[in-house]
Amino acid sequence: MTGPTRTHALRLLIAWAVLSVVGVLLALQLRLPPGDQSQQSIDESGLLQLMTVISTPVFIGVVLFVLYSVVVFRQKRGALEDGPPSYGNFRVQVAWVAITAVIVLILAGIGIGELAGRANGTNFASSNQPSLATTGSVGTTEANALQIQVIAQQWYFTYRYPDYAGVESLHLMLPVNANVVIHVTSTDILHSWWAYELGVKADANPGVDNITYLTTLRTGSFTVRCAELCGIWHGNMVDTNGAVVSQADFATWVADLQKSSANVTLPPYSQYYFPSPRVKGT
Amino acid sequence: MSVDEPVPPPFAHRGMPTLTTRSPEWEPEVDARLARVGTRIWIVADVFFFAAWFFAFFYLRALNNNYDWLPAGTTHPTRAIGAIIVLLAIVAAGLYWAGARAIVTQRATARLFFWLALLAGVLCFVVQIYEFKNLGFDPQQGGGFPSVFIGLKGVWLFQLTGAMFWLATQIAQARPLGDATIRPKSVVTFGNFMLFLAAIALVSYVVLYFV
Amino acid sequence: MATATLGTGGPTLQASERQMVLPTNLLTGIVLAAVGYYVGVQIGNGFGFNDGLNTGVLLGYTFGSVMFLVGVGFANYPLARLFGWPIAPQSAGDEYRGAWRFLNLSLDHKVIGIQYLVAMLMAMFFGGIGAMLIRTNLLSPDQLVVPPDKYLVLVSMHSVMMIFVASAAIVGPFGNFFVPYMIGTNRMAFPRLEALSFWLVPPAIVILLAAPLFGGFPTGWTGYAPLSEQAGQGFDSYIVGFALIGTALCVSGVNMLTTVISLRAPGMTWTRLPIFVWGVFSASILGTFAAPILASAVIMQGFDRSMNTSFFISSNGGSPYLWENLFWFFGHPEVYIFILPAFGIVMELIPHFARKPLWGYRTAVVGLLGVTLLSWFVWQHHLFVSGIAPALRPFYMFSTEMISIPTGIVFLVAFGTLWRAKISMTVPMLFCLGFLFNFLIGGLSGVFLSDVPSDVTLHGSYFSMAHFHFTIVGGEIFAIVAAIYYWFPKMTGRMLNMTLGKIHFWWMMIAFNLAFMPLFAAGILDMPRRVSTYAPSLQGLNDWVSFWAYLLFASMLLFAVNVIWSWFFNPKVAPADPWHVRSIEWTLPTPLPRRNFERIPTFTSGPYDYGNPSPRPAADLGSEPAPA
Ligand SMILES: [Cu+2]
Ligand SMILES: [Cu+2]
Repeated sequence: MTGPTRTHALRLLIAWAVLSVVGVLLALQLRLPPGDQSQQSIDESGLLQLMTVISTPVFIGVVLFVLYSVVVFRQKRGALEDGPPSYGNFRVQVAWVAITAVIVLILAGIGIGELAGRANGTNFASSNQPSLATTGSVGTTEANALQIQVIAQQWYFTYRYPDYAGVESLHLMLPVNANVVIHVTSTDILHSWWAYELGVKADANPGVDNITYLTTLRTGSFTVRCAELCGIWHGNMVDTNGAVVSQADFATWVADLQKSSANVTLPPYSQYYFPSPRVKGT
Repeated sequence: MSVDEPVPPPFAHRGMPTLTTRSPEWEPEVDARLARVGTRIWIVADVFFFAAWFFAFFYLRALNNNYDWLPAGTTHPTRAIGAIIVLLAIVAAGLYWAGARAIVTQRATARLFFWLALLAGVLCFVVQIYEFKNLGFDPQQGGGFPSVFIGLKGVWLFQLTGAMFWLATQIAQARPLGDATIRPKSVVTFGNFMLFLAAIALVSYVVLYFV
Repeated sequence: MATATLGTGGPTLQASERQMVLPTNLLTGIVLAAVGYYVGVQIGNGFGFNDGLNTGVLLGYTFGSVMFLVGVGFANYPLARLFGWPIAPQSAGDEYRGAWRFLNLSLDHKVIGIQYLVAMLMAMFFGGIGAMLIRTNLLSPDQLVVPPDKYLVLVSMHSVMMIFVASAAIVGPFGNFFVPYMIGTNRMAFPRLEALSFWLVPPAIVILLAAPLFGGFPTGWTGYAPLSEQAGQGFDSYIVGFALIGTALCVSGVNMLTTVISLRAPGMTWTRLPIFVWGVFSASILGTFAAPILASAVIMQGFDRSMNTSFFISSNGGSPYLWENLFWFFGHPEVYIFILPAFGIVMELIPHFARKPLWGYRTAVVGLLGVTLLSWFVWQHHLFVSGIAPALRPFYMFSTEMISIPTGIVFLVAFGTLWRAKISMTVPMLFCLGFLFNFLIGGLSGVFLSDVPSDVTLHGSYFSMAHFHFTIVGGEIFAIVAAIYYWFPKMTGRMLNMTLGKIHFWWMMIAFNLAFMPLFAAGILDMPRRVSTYAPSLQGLNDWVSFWAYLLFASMLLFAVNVIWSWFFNPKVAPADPWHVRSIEWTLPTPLPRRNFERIPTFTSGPYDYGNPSPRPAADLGSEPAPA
């Protein structure tokens, strides 16, 4: 490297290193949502923070470089001078591509690692097609996990507890420190079940059993929203009364629910529901 | 403005494209090359167009949602009629291709082939409409297969209609001093599209009647 | 008017081709469109499908559009071929003069470029008004101005209109206008297809604007299937509008690809091609091959809604997943149709204003083509939580993150070019640097979304909405504005006012960032997209956003004033080469001659040969006769 180039590069490098350290330290102070109510939300908070930490030096580097260039490498007013005729530097280009590739590999590694620890699956209404029906990790659910069915329809979610005779509730109540398997389905159009504080989101499709997993860690209430446009009252498809409660409270609650539902005839529990009428135009 | 000066057309004949300036970029040879490149790109784009329908076929068939890929009581359409449609499409493409080969040396033969190709294409259209009228199932009653059948065959028929229109213009331009004589290579190029349509017909036949 | 001097760089229509049974012009087109619409509705309703009269509206729009094109003059050439009437591939004259020419069918790529520019700016204005109404409604967590159904109509209109604009606003105006100059040709490969790609846009916009007459549609631009099948006749606008735009993208791409492949002048090798042409070229690859998928998908929607087939009805053997797959298989390449030509503009302008060669030209080309290739393999990142094939998600996550490698190359090339350069902070350059900043944020936020576990929280939230506004508004629109400031003198013969331009830049940059940056926070704080009501705790944030969104809109109004005043009321003709740059279009006189080149030029060096002590001219413009 020639003299002036080295000076510029050194200045930039030092400024970038200092600012990046400051930036990363600041980013590490962030406490990003969704929080710590479930293992999934802890993972996501951590991941969002990790992404922020990785992005910070990149952001600082680009902004710093552009600002430095436009301040230092300016055309003199009224002059029309050309810059040096450099058409590229092979080693710099290879290094740049290699660095971005390594960052991408790290990111993908983190993501895939997270995914591997997070089972997920889908069942389709026609289970005569095993190749599609058993995609993901259906069937690998722990035997002691609590099963919950989320039924979306315009414009609310209903929760069924197949472990408790298929009783229904309009608010999701979960025991703390429990493994929960959530089956999301819909009876009309697409919705997306988003339990914000719990860090889970899954689309609700008619005729599809979209499975997602959850481990509750802390008691407290949470908000459920619909995250897929589903018509007029999409924005009002909110329930702030979901709650993670202690095991004992959950047992009482579900017993009460079973008692009060004893006289109610619910539709038979099913893995999927289809919109009716079956034939259009009738 | 010397290059822009209109020169009198060398021939005064109806159907003759009048090249009114002497600019090299409008030479028939340039046009022929552009037609060749453009047609290839267009055919690849059309492959993507039909790929969506074949994807729909296999995807819905694999999902078999609500066990309604083939609704109860649905009978597959008759293979013989489907075969006739494919054969007519292939014959039309083949006749056009043969005609396009002959356009420079034997224009009368070429026109005859073009007319026969048009006839085959129109027959193909008629038989397809007949098939639509006698399906043995009603897509309005639901079912993945009936939907894809109607859809794929419908969009194919639409493109066949467009191709037949263009074929008719080729017949008109295959008269003495017509455009087809000025730019014979463009005529050959259109044959590629006819062959492509016939190939799609063949593939859809295999998929829709045998899979 | 300076613009009156444009013309005849392509073939023009002779009277014989133009005057057939009816005189074909814009007015005939409008009249025939009305007739076609009426006939289509009558025929469609006559079928008697139990379809909520969708068939009638669909056929009405289709017939109306076709008849509009016939009236404008697109049937003349095929009919002339059919009946053996004289065909004029080109002629020396053009009987329309002045502004009237821009309102009628012209096969001159310069006229088409101007037509596109004006149409796109107008459509952008409509879309912007939609955005203002949306932001007004969101001033309060409850419905403030419009009820929720109308709110969704607004969201859908804004999004579809802006998608129309974004997909054609660079290749349409600047690609059509400047690619023939940059590659040194007097013609486009298929001038009629080029004109068709423009004339499909006005009917698409009119049909989209007609949607509220039928109650609008509630689906946003994604048109997800079972909701779309619930929607009333307003959704038929979506179907026909996207079918028209898809056709426009496809035919424009066929024309552009063939032109660049076949009509490059002598010496214009693939490695001398200006990087802007490479951007247009790669976007055209995506447009040509992705748009047919969209066309097929919206035709399926049309069949479902008119003939009661069940492509997307899950209870009848169809599947909403089919739409999601087809739509995003088109939709992801679509977003690169937006941004690739913007990359082209930025990488084209930075060397000129840094007065340094484009650093790493070949790497830049590889980057553009790499994005083009990779964008076919990532579409399911929009479907991470949909339940489609969960086992494939690691693959789509990886392929999506891979795209940041070729995208990073764009930044590398910009860096290398800026390094030790002689930078002039002109207005176009400011917008290019603004692009780098905004697109950086857009790109980095994209990494958050590409990761499956973090996407679980961010998917469908305001975070993703802020992400794509940073890439499309902060990225593509900034590039478009840069291109307008840069090329306006060559296109119209008038300079834009650069003092206003500098005010515009700082105003727009600040307002844009202050408006959209908080939306990332809104997304992380539990605000889903497309909602008319939201948590009351987020009102302060939303009011702040609305305030700066108004100012952003105002900055665009300032821009509009600048454009209109400079174009029509400024008598001073721009110099031929106001920027003192090497690119070939600036070596031609302003106003541009009717014919691009008297002789086809011979290119002798690349367009970015700055700093060369004995530079050769970029092109030999005619001392020697052009090879045939
Ligand atoms: Cu919703
Ligand atoms: Cu995407």
